[in-house]
Parts: sequence; structure tokens; C-alpha cells
Amino acid sequence: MDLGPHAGFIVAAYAVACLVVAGLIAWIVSDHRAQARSLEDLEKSGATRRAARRPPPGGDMSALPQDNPPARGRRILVLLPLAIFLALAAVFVMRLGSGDPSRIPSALIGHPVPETDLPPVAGLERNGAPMPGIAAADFKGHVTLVNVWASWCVPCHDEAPLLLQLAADRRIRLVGINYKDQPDNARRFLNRYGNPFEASGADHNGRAAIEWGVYGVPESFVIGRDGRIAFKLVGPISAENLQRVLKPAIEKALAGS
Amino acid sequence: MGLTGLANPSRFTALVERVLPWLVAATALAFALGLYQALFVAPDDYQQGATVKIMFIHVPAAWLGTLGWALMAISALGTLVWRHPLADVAMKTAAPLGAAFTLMCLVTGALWGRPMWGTYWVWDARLTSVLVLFLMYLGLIALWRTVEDPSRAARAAAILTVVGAVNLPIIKFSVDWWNTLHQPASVLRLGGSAIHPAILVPLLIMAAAFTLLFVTLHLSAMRNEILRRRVRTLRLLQAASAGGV
Repeated sequence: MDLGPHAGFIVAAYAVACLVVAGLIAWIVSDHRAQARSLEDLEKSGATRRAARRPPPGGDMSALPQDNPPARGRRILVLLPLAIFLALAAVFVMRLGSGDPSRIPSALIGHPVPETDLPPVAGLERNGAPMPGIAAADFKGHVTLVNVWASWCVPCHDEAPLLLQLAADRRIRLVGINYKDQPDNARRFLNRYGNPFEASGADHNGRAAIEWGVYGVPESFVIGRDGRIAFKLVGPISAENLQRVLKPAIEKALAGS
Repeated sequence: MGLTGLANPSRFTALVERVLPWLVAATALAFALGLYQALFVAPDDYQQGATVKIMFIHVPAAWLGTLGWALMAISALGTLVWRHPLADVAMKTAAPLGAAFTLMCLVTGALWGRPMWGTYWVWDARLTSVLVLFLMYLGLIALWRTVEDPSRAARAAAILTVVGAVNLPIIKFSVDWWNTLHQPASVLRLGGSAIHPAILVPLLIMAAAFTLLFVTLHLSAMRNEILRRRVRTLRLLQAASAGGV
């Protein structure tokens, strides 16, 4: 049985289900024991006889079941939340240590890029000519870095200089998907930081981002010459992950087919 | 022996004692078969991969979480209309079970949502209405505990249960009425199930196993509750005879 990359989640789900069921069973069994014992004690003290006479003096009340707690079952029940907490804590600690959260596996890795035809961002210019939008055919033939960006996205401001630095590399094409943005704001953003993109499509309703499986802005995809998605970076490009993962991914795509 | 015959709690208890071993055996058997099918036979989904295995507990838990409230609503009618003595016992004991299964549904759903949707939780209509169901279960359990006299508690709880039943159609149709991240109905829908038999069969076996588990737990909890009430009555009698005269 191969549980794949999300085995931790599957195991955790089954563990939670087992715990819930075990808790219910423990509750019912211990409750049954407690009630049966109380009933037995009451019978012993003669309470079941309809004509219950006044109990003899001298602490018959102390024999009453409420002073005689259903000890063991209760104690197990008290420990149950602790057990559940410890089990969950163990799962969380295990998950915490496992892997970099920014490396969310994308279902699209290795697949051709989604059919994307986006209109240009209104009024954007590059070298005096209007900057083109995105056409599906554009991805074939060269290595492309697709960056999902928006002027309202704060981390995008941080990664803008790094994108510009990447744009200096003439071997790759930089393409932007301008996600749910106002053209005016987008223009201002690129004027402020410089325009790294050869083309940028306007994704007004976020449809293209859904096709690309975007978790949030910013995100960057490396597309190979064959038009397949080779790598995906969730979150902003930083000086650190640029050197560590993004550049190697680009080099790999350049070296590949 | 009809419903009136069952109204006698001791006869009901005797019946439960008789069928309980069989029910436990049937539940264990159904789970053995269902888990084997779910974990070893059912193929991975082409989109969800192995996480589809979470569905084999998530979906039955969701069904029983809602069916638990439906059962309570019917029992509540039994309490309010016919004053059936077992109705409020059934109603009271179904609440913790329903709450537990709803919790199971929420947690397993979150654990599936993280790898598949990228989030443990969204305030989507289906998820939120199920969370409301869970909170209502907790409220109902609290109500049962605030009123000491069981028959008075039963009437208050019955009214709350019947009113709370409006949430059930909201849960069921939330995926049709609103644009939800949660997928729409795929098993019980017009035009037949949308699930391939390779996944559907294990799912239905697991659903049967969960239902058997629910019935087993519910009947034993009802027996416990009957015992608890007998203990309470005897203690009251004892206290009256001790304090009286």
C-alpha cells in the first residue's frame, strides 16, 4: 500500500477516526459499568425494595453509591483528552519537521502549461511598443519564467528587483500574469521597479490563476522548451531561494530538451 | 412486539442485551471488509491520489453526523407528540454520538483539504453549516446537562432539536445553493452516482460499517441511559424514605 506524498495526512485522518471511535466505546463501556455498579449497590442497600424502610442509624448513608465513585472508568475517561492531545501533538510535530512549506507539490509539474490566452495589460509599454499579452503558443521553444504578480501584493514589491536581475539573462523569457489588478496600478508598479517582463497578460477574474493552480501571489513557474511546467516556486523570490532553487531549476530547464 | 411493547424500558433493555453481541460482530465484520476494501483494494484517484482514502471515513462520518440529528429530530417528535418514554432516551444518547461523528467529519475533511485544496479550512457554506451542526450538538448536550429532571430537560431539548433540524437541508443543499469550494453531491443525486464503482463500493461498505457502529453505540448508550434513570429514581426514593417520616 503506497500512500503517496500525503501519507501523513491520510494516517492522521485514520488516527483521528480511530481515536473518536475508541473514545465513544470507552465512554459507553465505562458508563455501563458505572451504572451497573450503582444499581448493584442500591440493590444491596435495599433501595430496590418498594417499601424502603428507614435505613438503620450508623452511617448507612456512607454506603451509598455516590460516595463510592466509579473510579477506574472515570480515570480512564479523564485521561482520554490528554491522550488525544498527545497523539495530535505527535502528528503535528512530525508534520512540522517534514519539509519546507513553500515547496507545496504542484499537480501540474511535468504537465503542459494550461491553455492560457490573456489580453495585454492596458497601456503597458515596452521599448515604446505596447507590451503583448500571453498566447498559448508562446511557451514552445524557449525556457520561460512565468511570474504571477499584482501591484497590491506586498511580497511582489520585494521580489521585483530580483526579477529584474533575472531578466538580464537573455536565455530565458520572463512572462507575467498580472493577477486581479488595475491596469493603472500595474503600470505604476512597473514604472517604479522597472519592467522585467517581455509579455504580461491581465488576469482580471483570476481564471488563469485557477488553471495554473496558483495558491497565492506571488508565484513563479519555470517552463521548459517543451512547454511543460518544470518547477514551481510558491511565494516571493528571495536572494536565498533564487540561488538555492530557482536558478538551478532554470539551468536544468535550459540544459534539458 | 411493536413500538408500544418497546415502551417498557426493561423489555427494551432485555432486547438490547440480546441483539448487542450480534451487532458488535456485524460491525466488526463490516469494518474488516470495508477497511480492507478501502485501504488495499480501492485504487488511487487520478486527481486526489491516495488522499481519496480519507474520503472513506470522511463521507460516512458526515452522513452519520447529519443522520444523528435527523434521528434526534424524529425522537423529539416522539417526545413532544406521543410522549414515548424511550424517545427522549434515544434523543439524549444520540447527541454525543452525532457530535463525535461530526467532529470526525470536520477533522478528516481538514486533513484532506490541506493537501488537496491547500488549506485546512475555508468559510465555505458546506463547511460552515457542518461546523454549525457541531456547535449545535454541543449546545444540545449542554442543555441536557443544565436541567436536572430528565423529562423537563427532554422537552426543552426536543424543541431545540426540532428547530435545529432546519440546518439539515441547509447542509445538504448548501453545495447547490451557494458557490462552494466543497464539491457538490456525487453519491445521492438525480441521475445516479457520479463515482466509479471501484471507489463507490468500498465507500458504501464503509458507510454500512459506520451505520452499524452508530446503531451499536446508540443502543448501548440507550441501555446505559435507562440504567442511569433507574439509579436516579431509586436514589430519590431512598432519599425520600431516609429523610421522610
